[in-house]
Amino acid sequence: MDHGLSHLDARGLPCSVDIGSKAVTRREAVAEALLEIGEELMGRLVATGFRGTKGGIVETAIVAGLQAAKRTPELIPMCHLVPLEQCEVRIEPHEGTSLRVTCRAVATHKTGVEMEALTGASVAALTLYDMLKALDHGLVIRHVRLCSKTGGKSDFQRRPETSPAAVAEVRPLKVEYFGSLREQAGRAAEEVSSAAATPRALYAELAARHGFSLAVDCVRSAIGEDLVPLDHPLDGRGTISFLPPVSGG
Amino acid sequence: MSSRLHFSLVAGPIEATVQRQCLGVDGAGAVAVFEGIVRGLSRGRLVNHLDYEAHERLVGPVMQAILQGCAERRAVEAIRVVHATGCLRPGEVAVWIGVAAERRAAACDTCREVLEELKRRAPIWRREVYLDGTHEWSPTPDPL
Repeated sequence: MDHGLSHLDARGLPCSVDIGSKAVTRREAVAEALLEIGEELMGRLVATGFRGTKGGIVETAIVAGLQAAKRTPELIPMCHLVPLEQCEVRIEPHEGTSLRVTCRAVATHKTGVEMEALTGASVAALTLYDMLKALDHGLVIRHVRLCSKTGGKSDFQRRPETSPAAVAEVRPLKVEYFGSLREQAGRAAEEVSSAAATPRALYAELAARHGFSLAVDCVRSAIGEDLVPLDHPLDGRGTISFLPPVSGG
Repeated sequence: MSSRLHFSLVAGPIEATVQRQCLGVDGAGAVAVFEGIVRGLSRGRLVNHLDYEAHERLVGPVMQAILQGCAERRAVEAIRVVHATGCLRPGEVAVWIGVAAERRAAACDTCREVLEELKRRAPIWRREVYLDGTHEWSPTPDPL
């Protein structure tokens, strides 16, 4: 059976790869995860020095990522026990609306460390979510992915143009406001230039501009005549409405 | 049986007697009517007037969905809902709901259900302007 999958045997059952005859080389891998938090929450974190009720958000996530990378074989069944010689987790703001986690793992060993880097980045992002969820349960981990790996049979380098951030383009969007949002914006409608991918991201930008007092999860969004979820993709067509809690009758 | 369902917005206060005539009661044994009237005292403050605004493109489809849902649950002949927009003074009618049905329970229960669904879902907003010149956007949900 030639299925091209190294963790299945000839009968299709799980097996770990025999690395006994592989060469010991210096292996390095870098992975990243992106946690979307929106402009409003980013502003609040900057103002508090990234400290939450549970303590330093970034420091905690870094330690969690390091711990997790070292324990990868306990989590992922076919991973070999690889003694990491170096592991580094970095967390930095990304485009004003996200936190970007990168995890770099290094080992001189017979097998690669991309799973260690991916695990470290994943768990650091999950820890950021845990530290921030009291402020917004709707945060999204946008992607966990390998950026590069070297030292093995085949190297890998992700090309920068595949990054979703690179393809997001600024385009004009028609926006309408109602109720208290119309009053705080000082206008019923406007056209804005934005690369926002969802009504949630757009609201974060507009809240920063107009000082909206309503948290995003109190607001509903509509495109044209249809109510849509805040995480609905924005394709640039139709007027986007933001609706505060209703009070008719 | 298909029910006659109507929703519209009107600028300014609603004439309740006109709406009652428009409801039409052919074959009905019961009519339930709700009139929502602007209070002169709200949350302990004297009200000068209310400003109502609606999302005009969205409110029609939302109300149609509400009325169709109500008409499927109970046997009703007709449901008519009219909501005011713009400036309303205390004592004026801001919302009018009429339900005609063969039996009283369907008429009364549907009238109440339409009102509660409208308050919960219809994209309409109310700003209370007080005699002292201050104003507030009404909280939601309204007390019963």
